[in-house]
Amino acid sequence: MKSGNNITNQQLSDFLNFSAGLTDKEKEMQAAAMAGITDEIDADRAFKKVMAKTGKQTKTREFVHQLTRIAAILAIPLLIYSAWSVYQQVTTSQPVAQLAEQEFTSPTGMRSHVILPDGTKVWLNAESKIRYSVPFVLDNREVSIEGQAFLNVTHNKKAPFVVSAANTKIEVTGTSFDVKAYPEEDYVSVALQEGSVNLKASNGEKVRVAEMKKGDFFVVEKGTNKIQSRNTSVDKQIAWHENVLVLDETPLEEVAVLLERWYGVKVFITDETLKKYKFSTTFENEPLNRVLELLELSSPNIKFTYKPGKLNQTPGEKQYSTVTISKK
Amino acid sequence: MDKKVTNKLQIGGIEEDVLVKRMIDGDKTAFELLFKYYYPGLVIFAANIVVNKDEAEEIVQDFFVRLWGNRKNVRSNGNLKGYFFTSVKNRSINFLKSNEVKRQIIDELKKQMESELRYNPDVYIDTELQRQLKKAFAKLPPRTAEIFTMSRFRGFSNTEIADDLGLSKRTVETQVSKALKILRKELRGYATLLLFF
Repeated sequence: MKSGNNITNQQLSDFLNFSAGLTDKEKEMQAAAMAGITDEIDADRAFKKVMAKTGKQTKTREFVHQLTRIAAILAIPLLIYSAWSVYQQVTTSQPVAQLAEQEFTSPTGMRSHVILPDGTKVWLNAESKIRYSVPFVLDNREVSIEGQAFLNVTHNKKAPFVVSAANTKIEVTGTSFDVKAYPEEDYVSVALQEGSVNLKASNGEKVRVAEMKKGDFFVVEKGTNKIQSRNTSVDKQIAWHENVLVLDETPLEEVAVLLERWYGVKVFITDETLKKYKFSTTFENEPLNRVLELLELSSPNIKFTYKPGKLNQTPGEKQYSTVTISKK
Repeated sequence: MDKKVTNKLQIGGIEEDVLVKRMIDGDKTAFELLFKYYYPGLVIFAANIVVNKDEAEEIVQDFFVRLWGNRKNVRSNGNLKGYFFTSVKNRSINFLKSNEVKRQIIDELKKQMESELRYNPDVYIDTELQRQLKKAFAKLPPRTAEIFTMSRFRGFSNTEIADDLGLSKRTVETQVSKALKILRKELRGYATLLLFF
């Protein structure tokens, strides 16, 4: 955008002449005035423009065909509203909404990675969401989780980090743990990789507490509030956050649910008797077709049929890919 | 609010070094925080070179678009402020050159940039220098402060101010020199203002 050459020459020349004529004190005041008018610049609007331009630069991943789709972990940072709103309060005197809520959802077929304002890293499994109120300040680190998440909590002895999942409250100071609380399931499970955790299960009246140590895997029943320890490898429970799908004596009906979430497909089991068949195998970064092949190979009489959904569908019309599990 | 803890710059409660590393890793939020912290200062700084606020905004925005696209090659060496201001300075001067601004004028500009306080990056971000300057400026009688800010700095040209106010260029020039006279008189009382830089 070339402004007229002569105008710029004249403007700049005037400006430089003016400045040259100032005393030192006046130059200081000129600099101070410059510092003052930075408040008039709309950085928010400018950032939106910058984002629009950078969007044109980055390549978007294209999944050409569902069969070759490799479920990947997307790193999607949360907007750090809390930190930014505090900064705004200092530079302008605009009132900032205090108790706003920030929510982030990882859809079916995708796992996501987010970083909270305090530096805590959160991996969200498919069909999971995390919610917290802003400002997310250090003396009030509380989030609520639906679905499954693996958290690596920034250590801070003075400020406990609390996770609410259904009827369970998980309190930690600096830890790595996994919490699973899908709304359709009747339990909440917590697997502790590192650090220490206090569990609190309550349904309004009674409260049950338990302390977890490294390597513990506890299950909390939503209905009764009972907390039980299970003998399971924590590594197996948290493998999903490293893109590893672990089946460990997992019955087929559960495998079906896992596949639905992991790959975003709909699974149908046509024969009831097949549901209890157990699978034990590990998949790392495998596309769905490969997983189905291996599952079929490892079972004597079960057939897995994949039918891709339609791409380029009209908006509003959902055509999922489906997997039908039947007797051979 | 004092954002400095020990000697490390914190933006929004997070150390700048950490934000830079995260930005390099692709964290758009870190990028946003850095942008919002530096953008206004960089724009006014650039406007002191290209004497046009809109152009200054474009220059700084283009720099950040490039920065994001190129983020993997950014080396975090602890002097982000220096890197930002030097880059914007160079882009601004290139803008003048590509707009065929006369060599002599650019040379005069470069001379002033070496010595004048208003080209010091510390004026444009939250530093001790900026705080001192603002404190001193706040002591000015309102009328003086207003004249000071209104004259050369908002519009960056008498033509624009004249257009804005519907005055002739001559009137504005007279106003400005009047303002300078008042300024000098009123500032005499502030001889004790000592600023470090």
